[in-house]
Amino acid sequence: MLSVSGIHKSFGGVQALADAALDCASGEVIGLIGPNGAGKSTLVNVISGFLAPDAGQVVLDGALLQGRTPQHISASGIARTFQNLRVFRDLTVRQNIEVASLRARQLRRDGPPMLGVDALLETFGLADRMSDAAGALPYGTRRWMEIARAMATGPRILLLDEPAAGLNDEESDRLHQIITRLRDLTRIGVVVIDHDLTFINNVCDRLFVMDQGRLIASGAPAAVWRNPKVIEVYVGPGTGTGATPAVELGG
Amino acid sequence: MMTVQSVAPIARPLRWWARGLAGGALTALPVVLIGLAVLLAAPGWVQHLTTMALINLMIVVGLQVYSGNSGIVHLGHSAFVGLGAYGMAILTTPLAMKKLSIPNAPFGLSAVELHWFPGGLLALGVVWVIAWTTARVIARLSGIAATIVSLAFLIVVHSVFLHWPALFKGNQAFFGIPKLVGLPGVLLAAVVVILIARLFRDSPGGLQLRASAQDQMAADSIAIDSRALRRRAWILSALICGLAGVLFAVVSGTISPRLFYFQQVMLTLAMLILGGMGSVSGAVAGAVILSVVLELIRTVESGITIGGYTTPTLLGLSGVALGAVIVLCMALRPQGLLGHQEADDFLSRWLRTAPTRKR
Repeated sequence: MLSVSGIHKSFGGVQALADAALDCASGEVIGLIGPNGAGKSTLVNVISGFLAPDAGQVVLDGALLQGRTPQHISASGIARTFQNLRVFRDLTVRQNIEVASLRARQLRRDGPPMLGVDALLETFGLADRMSDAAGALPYGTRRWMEIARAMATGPRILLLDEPAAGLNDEESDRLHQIITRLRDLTRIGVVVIDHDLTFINNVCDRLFVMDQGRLIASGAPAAVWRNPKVIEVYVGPGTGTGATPAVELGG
Repeated sequence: MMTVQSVAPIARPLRWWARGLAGGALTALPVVLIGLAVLLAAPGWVQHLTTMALINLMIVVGLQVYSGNSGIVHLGHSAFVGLGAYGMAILTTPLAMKKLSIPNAPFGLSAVELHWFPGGLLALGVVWVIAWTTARVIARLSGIAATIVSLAFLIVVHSVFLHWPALFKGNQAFFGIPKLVGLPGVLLAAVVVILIARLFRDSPGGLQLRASAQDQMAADSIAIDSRALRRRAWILSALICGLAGVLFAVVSGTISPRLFYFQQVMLTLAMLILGGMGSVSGAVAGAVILSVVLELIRTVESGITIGGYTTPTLLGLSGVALGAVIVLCMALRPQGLLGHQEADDFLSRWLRTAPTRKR
């Protein structure tokens, strides 16, 4: 179980995160949403070790992880993808996934079985392109590969930073299926950041809403969308008291 | 949809070491064929030229081990060649010769004369110690900073050769090294080095290092320890270059510091850039092609006679050609002739598409 609390982070005079928090149990898919500049990506960077927080705790199954290196955090069981795809362009698809599994296999020889490279290639429909250079793949396929690569580290928590960005409706559906399938197969916890609220509503069990670096609401999607603070952030101040259904917002 | 689709079982690729050995052998094959042809049919001076070219090839392969896998340009590899060569010279030159060349060598080295085998091992041991030490520093850096430090290392080692005459004879030639090795020995060493470089490239560590060279953040996110891997590549690269130096000493019998300086750095770097840094096959192809081309240019350089007309001597033409190769390559094909592909990658792609082509 991942539990993040009281995270503060400023860049110069700008407070990017002020008392940010979230938690995610195994087998759960949670959504992290909020307007641009709310601090979602900053929070993901703190959790995955790419930024050290000024204060606060990141705890995974009892282990304190805040301020540790990305390598340490990845080896501890938190995997992530990147908003602007980062693939190893000159390696083949198979190598991209294989290279991510090497360290995990070394570290967790006696651990629970993970999805192997072949299983991941199949799950993500990459098997027939496994010998192609990753740089030659179309955008959507690169997304699958990046998620497959993250999964190859055998994580307990998977952080997906805007996975649906740039995907068409069909691909979005497929992403939904993949996320649920991964969750069912491995009982990992998944944290999804996205702007596509329809997608978020469909795929997530619980939502965390951030604004200006703060957690302003959390809970089941239906409850969150009735929260006046959330409505104010998404629709604007003074627009009623919770009558706006979520799916319309997501449109 | 992917969830309902039944997928045919995936053909498992070869284990990395099997593919590495097979691919390395394929890359080494043309080198072996050229070497054997020269050995059996060519006059002595061609054999000597080929031997020296093969030593350059080993240096280029050594350079590829670090630069090709880490993506960092290395300008200090010739320092390791020089250290290997001087180590071998100091340890194996006969005592009678040493009385003339380095009578006042420190650490009692003027009274040491080792057999070539322990001498070579010890010389490589010295290279290893210096590589291990410098690796601590250089592996912390990436990109242009690492390149500059490698250049500084080259200059430091060169200065030590020049200004420690009691041990290295300063800028004078160190002569009298026993000439023990000819074309067959160097050919064998070149093949071994090609196989080692290819195995490193394909090994789990090599794959991780290549990944981290392409995207450091993504590599961090999958727990790749790129510093440790850069250290490993630097040391292996140094040992290969050191071995080339050891052979250089016992092939030519005479060495001097300027042989292991900018000229050699630029020559071997041009070879690697021409062939393609990303693969061992590229390193080998670049070394072979540029060796032949430069040798042809050198004959033109000294003036040739065509139909009664003798061309003027054009000293320095090979230097110009070398510069032109680097510039043209950077402009037209920055990834080199082979790019990131190994010879066997081309072969397997050709085999995969062959049935379609027949139709």
